[in-house]
Amino acid sequence: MIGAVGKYSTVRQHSKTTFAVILLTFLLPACKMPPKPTPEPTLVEIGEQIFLNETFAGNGRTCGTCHRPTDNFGLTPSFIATLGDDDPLFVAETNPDLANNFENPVLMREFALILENQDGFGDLANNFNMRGVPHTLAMRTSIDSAAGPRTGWSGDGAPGDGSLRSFATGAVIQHFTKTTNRIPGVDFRLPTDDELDALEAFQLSLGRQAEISLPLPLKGIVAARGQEIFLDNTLGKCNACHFNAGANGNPAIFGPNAGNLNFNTGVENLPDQPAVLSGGKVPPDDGFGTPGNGEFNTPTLVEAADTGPFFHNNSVETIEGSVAFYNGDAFTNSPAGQLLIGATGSAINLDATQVVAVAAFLRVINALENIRSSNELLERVIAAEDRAERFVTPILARARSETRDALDVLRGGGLHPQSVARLMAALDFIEQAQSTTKAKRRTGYARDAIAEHGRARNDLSGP
Amino acid sequence: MNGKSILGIMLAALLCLNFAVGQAQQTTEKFIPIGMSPGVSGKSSYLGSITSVDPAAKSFSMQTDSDSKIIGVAPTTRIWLDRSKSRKPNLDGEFGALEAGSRVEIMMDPSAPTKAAWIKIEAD
Repeated sequence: MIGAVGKYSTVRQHSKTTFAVILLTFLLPACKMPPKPTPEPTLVEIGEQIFLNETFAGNGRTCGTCHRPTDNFGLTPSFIATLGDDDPLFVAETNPDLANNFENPVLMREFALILENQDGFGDLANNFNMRGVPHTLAMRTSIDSAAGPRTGWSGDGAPGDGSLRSFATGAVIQHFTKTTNRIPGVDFRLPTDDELDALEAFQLSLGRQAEISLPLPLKGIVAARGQEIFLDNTLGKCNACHFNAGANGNPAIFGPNAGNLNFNTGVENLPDQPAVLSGGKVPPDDGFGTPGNGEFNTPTLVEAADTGPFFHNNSVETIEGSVAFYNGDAFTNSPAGQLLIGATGSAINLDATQVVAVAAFLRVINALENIRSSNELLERVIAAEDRAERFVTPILARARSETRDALDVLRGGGLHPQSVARLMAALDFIEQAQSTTKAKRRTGYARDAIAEHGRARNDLSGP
Repeated sequence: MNGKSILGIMLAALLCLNFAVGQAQQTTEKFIPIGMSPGVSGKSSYLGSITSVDPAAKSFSMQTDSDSKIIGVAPTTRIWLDRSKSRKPNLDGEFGALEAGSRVEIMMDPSAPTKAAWIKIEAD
């Protein structure tokens, strides 16, 4: 009996122990790893949320409606073709109040052109221009000038003080309104100072934060020759206005603080512009100022190859065509072209092989920037291993887009097949990172993608 | 690159570049209510009431919180009627819309410091 009691006691003791072990098994991990508090969002993250989600009580559009994160924060016809008819981009097709004089749906869908009234809202039927959507990458390096900030295609896109911070206010008035009356508090609300601060911080965080330094030790024969032509002030003459393939004037020519410059390069005089060929009303665009002086500001070229169509009116589809533009009559006879002839004794006159070489150079530096940018995004994914999946999902989508662009710009020019193979492998890793729900696996795939990017980069350029 | 080319381009640069003063977009400025212009209101604009108008001199006097000012109106000065308080569309205005007692916001022209670049007049 005593033994039985003792046995029972032992069993009870064991049961208690087992229960305690089970309890601890479940509780200990929670004690050891308390859930990490979600970090306070940074100003850039707040700006990103506003950029992508805030409609400002308007017609449903956000900044991201036209500046798409996975389309280089710009907008191309091929991307538009993937959108549903209920996308707020097409609000002129769905909102009767915006059916007239707000957008041209045909030109939007065919050529990714957006209607702008930069010379006034007094005659909406006749006084407008059709412009492409400029990307918002590398703005840290491409807006400042000795004459003040230059935003938008003609450098005068922002109301208020004309700064990038003020740009969103004008964009809301132009593009977010519920009706063409554009009454604040009725058709939209204006961004607050805090929102403008956050939007500016977010936009400045996108893309390159510093200029590259040419010449680069490029490994491709054609791209390397293209770089020589680009830098040659007697041949390509490109580096004068696109110093280091950026958006700023060469300081040796234009002064140390010239920064981003405006020129009339004659794009408006191109024959057979696609939008004009469509037969729709496309008034001439007079560029900077009201009335305009015909000038547009200089875009950065590092980001060019994957952000076509090119020029303010999306008039040239390919990077080769945009290089060839400077051979043609439209540029040669323009104010900028004539002054270049006066200064150097000749027009730009590149043969087909040279045009392709310069374009190959632009394709390669674009791919290098894609790789850098994708790696930066993947590093953010790795650093955010403990954060919710919804935080990393859009970052991975952008990383994938950057790697995809690198692939496309190289393949489009028949360049660097080895690098293309590496980029395909990197893309595969990123897609696996996108599909897994395990944070550690995602991190591993991100690291694998970065390694492949490194190999791809090594095929393009030396250290 | 030879020295002649550099010199040539430098000369061209001096000739061709007007280094136009950075310009804010005035077309959307029209729709921004008095006191809400980003980077301008509360920093570089004058906010106050008109005290008198001199049509002959194309100028008017205004009282701000701190002092009085005489503002010139140039042919290039943009004048807008801010009707946002009445929830009506803002309109283009003319010199005749400047009346004593009207609340106004003035942005001076950086290239002509005695003249206004734009004037917003509170209106019904």
